[in-house]
Amino acid sequence: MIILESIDVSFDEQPILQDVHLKIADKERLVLLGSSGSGKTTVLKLIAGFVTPDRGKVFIDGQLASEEGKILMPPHQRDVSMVFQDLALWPHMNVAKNIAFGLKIQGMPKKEREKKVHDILSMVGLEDAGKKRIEQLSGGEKQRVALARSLVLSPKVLLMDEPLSSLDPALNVRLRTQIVKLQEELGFTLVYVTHNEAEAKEIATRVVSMQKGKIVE
Amino acid sequence: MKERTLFGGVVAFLFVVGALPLLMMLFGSLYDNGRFTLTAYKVLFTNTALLESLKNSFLLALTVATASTSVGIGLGILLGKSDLRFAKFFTLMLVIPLVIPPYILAFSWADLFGEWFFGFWGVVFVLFTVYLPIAILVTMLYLRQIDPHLEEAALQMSSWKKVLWLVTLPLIRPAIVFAFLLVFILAFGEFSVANFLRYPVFSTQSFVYFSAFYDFRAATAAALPIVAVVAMVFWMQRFLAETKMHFIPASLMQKIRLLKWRLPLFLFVLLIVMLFVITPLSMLVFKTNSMESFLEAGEKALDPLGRSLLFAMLGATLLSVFGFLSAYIIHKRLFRWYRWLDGSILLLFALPASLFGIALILFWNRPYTNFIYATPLILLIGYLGKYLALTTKITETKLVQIPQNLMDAAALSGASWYHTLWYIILPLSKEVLLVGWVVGFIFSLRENTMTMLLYPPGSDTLPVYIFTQMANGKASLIAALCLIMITATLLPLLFLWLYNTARRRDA
Ligand SMILES: Nc1ncnc2c1ncn2[C@@H]1O[C@H](COP(=O)(O)OP(=O)(O)OP(=O)(O)O)[C@@H](O)[C@H]1O
Ligand SMILES: [Mg+2]
Repeated sequence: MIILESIDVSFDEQPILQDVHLKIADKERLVLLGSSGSGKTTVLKLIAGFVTPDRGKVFIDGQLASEEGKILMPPHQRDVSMVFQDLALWPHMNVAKNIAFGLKIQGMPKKEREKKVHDILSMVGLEDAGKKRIEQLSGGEKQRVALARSLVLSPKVLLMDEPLSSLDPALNVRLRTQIVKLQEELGFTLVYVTHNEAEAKEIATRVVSMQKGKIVE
Repeated sequence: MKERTLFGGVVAFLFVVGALPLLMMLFGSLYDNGRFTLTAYKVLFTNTALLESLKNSFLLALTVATASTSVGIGLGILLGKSDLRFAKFFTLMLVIPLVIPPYILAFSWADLFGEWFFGFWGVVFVLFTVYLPIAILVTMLYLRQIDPHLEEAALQMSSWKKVLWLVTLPLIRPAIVFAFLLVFILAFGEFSVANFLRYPVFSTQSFVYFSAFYDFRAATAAALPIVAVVAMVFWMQRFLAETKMHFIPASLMQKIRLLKWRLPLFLFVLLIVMLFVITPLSMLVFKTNSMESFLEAGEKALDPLGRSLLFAMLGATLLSVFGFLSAYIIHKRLFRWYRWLDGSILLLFALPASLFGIALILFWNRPYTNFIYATPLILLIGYLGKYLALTTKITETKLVQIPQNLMDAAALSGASWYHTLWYIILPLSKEVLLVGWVVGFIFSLRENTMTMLLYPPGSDTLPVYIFTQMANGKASLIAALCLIMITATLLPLLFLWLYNTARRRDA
């Protein structure tokens, strides 16, 4: 369970989020819907621990994770993973290395790592892409690699920031269903950001709308 | 280890290398036998020779900066933004005067023109050709950052002539200011050319003060006007800080089509290259005149050249490592006072090398630090302090281009700061580290002002050896030595160029 309590965030004195309250239950699929600049990415980064609130508190599973001007729980302790808006795949590593990175940091032996990477790649339908360089991938493939990189760590919470916005409509629709299926299989909590209402309806078990830094359900 | 602990250590080390000797020298000039006094500073008002030299330096730097910047911007636009033939090759040729020791050019030109080349205009001419590439390169760097849409929008309404004047030039205004200040500062501190062409400037005079009278307090006091230069450095830094480095891929850049001007301008640039680069170099070849003088030079140069290469390689390695570390600190703003680090690094670069050299002598010339002072370690410290700004800034241009999300993604995968540093930032910076290494190598190799002050007995480098030969050696021998020096400098540059071309073909 993630709780955001009376959150204010500002950058350069400019208010970005104002008095945001949000409760996210375990295993739900919450969609944050809002136009560009409404503060959706900022909410995700707040949950991940990259943005510090000016006011308010963030709780993760009952523990105080951030409060006024402080990040108490660093990102890697939150059991949260994020698929970034620009995907943020590491250009100097191939697909398999991108996915294996977190496992390697955990100290998982190479054999085990390779097996896990293989499994997750087939789960997202990219069995043969392991050796490819990132710039050789199409938009949809990159998208799925980013998803695989997050999922391989079996996070409790997955944050996805407009993951499908750059894809053509057909692929967009196909991947939506895949994401829902994966979530049901693996049972993580999904916080999904989009500005596309159809996408929101299809994915969400609950939709929350944002406007100018405020939540307007 | 905590990130701030490790990097605090790095800063402490750099403080001892660079800032502490200068601070000690400053305090030393203010105290006489333990009592505070300003007597040393009287020299500023009473010594007319020194005052005169200060005025000379100022005029010299102003003239050189004006000339190099105005010509350099024109050439930069031609070479970096038009369809001029052989632009890459010309650029490479024009960079040569910057990377070889400048007094070699002075020697070559003086040999060509004879006695009347000595004095103000001779120094201006040589330094103009030496610093011209800086203005060219800075212009090209900024041109690469112009959003092509801005020019495209204007081009729909008007011809290049107007667009250049009304859009492009205003957009690279920071480049103009930056190039001017940089050249001014470098020309202000340059020692060897003025010394060779017998024109009294501040850096030669303060050098005399120190070496002839061993009066370091006067030398320090005389350096006080440099505070003006310092103020300029900090001003300059603001321009740097404000410019976000976002490079537009060369293929997207709007290129000027020269049309009927293509041939005349090609000939014009060719002429400039012939005059500024080919002429002095061929003079040296011509002067060497026989295989024998070349062989003799080779034999004599062998030891100093070996030392030069070794010191330059070690210096380059230190410079590229610490350039990376300090760029990391500055870019991540690891400490609240990161600007002080940034400013000090730039200040050391801006200060005349002779001054820093003197500070290093005063600081390290003690019995218990002889393991540094009496060994080539002192040279490495000098190179590191003096040229750290170059590698730091080069690395920074890369660091600002690495998206924050790449690092955040690593953090979410469980990476600590050193994992992120090691697995993400360092591999992505590989190329700038290499560029930094080559730049560090070239500048360590060509340095001779500090080296002359600091080299331990029996450890003279090739530039120092050539410089001493110039006083009374045979001209043919000196010319041959200069050619050897030039080859040693240009080889790594050539390798870097080949590596780059090969890599581009791969991609
Ligand atoms: N690091 C930052 N510094 C300053 N302002 C920022 C920063 N990050 C975001 N902002 C501003 O905060 C506001 C909200 O940004 P945010 O990225 O959360 O919006 P968004 O809803 O994700 O928009 P989009 O749909 O375009 O991605 C915007 O006005 C943006 O300009
Ligand atoms: Mg966003």
